[in-house]
Amino acid sequence: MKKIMKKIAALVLGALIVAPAYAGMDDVVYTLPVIGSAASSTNSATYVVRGQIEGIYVDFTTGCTGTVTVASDRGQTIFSKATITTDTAYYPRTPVQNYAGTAMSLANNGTNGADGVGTTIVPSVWEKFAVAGDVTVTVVGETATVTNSAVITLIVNE
Amino acid sequence: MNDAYYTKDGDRPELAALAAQVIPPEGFIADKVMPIVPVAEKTGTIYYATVTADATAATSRSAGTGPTAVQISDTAGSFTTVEHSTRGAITPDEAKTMGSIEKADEVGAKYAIRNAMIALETDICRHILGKAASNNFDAPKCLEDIQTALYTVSLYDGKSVLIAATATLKKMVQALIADSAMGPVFSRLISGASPAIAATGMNFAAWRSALAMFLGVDEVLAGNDKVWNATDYVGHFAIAKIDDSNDPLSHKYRPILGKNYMFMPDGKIPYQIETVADRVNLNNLYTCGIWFDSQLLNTGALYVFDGVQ
Repeated sequence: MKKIMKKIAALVLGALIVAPAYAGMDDVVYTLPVIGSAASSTNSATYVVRGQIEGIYVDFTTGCTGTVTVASDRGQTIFSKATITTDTAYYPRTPVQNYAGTAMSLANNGTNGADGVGTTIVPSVWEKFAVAGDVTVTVVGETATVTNSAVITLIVNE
Repeated sequence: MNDAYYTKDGDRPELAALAAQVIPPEGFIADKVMPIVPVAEKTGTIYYATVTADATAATSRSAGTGPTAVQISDTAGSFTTVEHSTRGAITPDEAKTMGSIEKADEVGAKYAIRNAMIALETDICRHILGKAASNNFDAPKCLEDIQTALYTVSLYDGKSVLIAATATLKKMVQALIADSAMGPVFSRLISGASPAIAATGMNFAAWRSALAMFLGVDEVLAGNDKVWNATDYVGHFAIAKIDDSNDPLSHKYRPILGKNYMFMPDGKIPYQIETVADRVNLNNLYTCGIWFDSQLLNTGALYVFDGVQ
């Protein structure tokens, strides 16, 4: 019995070790400890991020006001907002294109006719940002007297 | 206070020798990254080797003419050592509490030496992790990226190392395990064949050797977090070629990363310790002084990554 238990324990541990990691939600934390105490003082950090940006949480020091920009190395501006004063969660989305690369408008959603036949409903024309590369968060302090600092957290579905 | 709790005045080489005992487990790696070159003068000229670019071998040499020669020569630079001094103080009554003046001497000297060492470590870290990053750490692509770094530094002499703060190394391990592509490979590499080996393989030394094996470097140097994980260097790590020759003059003929020029007043021990029994202020003073100038001779032997989080 002891032997069997040992074998089972070894198998379970072995399975745990070789089990592949699965995708899921992750947080990428950009800590910009000291942006500076002058207005327009800037600091930034870059990490490689892979996945869809679900949301962005901005956490400023009390009394600090600033502009936060999140941009990818593919030229996407994922988020850019000036004069943020309070700690807030944001959920930026981007318009999508159809298969021909044409921007989709709400008209593309179609209408669900009275008979409900022959119409196509596109679920959404706004989609989460997909990133797979360098994502840079830049914070520009707007308060002159406070030592601005910020922690920007990207919630990523990997 | 009793005379027995006042220290001796003067130079204390026996206390300076305690330097070897001061190094904390998660180490001070400056001496490995930039080996010490003892110098007799505070300033001077250094001649050091650089990499001479390779030339394509000629296949059409005319009879009677020699192959084109590429001149290989040393580059000249200069060093100026600067004094870094720190001082600890222990009152005679504290010395009595510690048991004896010998014990107090050891505590005071170690404190002063440690602070001098931190100064040296900080200076060398500035050269290494302070270099502008060439790439950002990306767990799924790390083998490819590290290979690019190793290729970039390949023409320089010495052994290839990964230099990072202990905290950064642990974050790298965490990111590699969490990655769906690299995680299983890395886990198997560290765990070996059986769970029993996995259990013993989980200490930090094992992770470090696994990182070295996985990334294809000769050694992983874990720097003390106080210095190597300072705010400016959070998330940084470097791939470098460091001198492994034990020859203080190797920089003259081998293109290596850098050297630390240390002026040693007595020619032997870099850490000079002086103790003073200060009867005016009723104190024992322990002063450590070192003179050094660390020089990054070949910046091409260094490739820095940022973005480990």
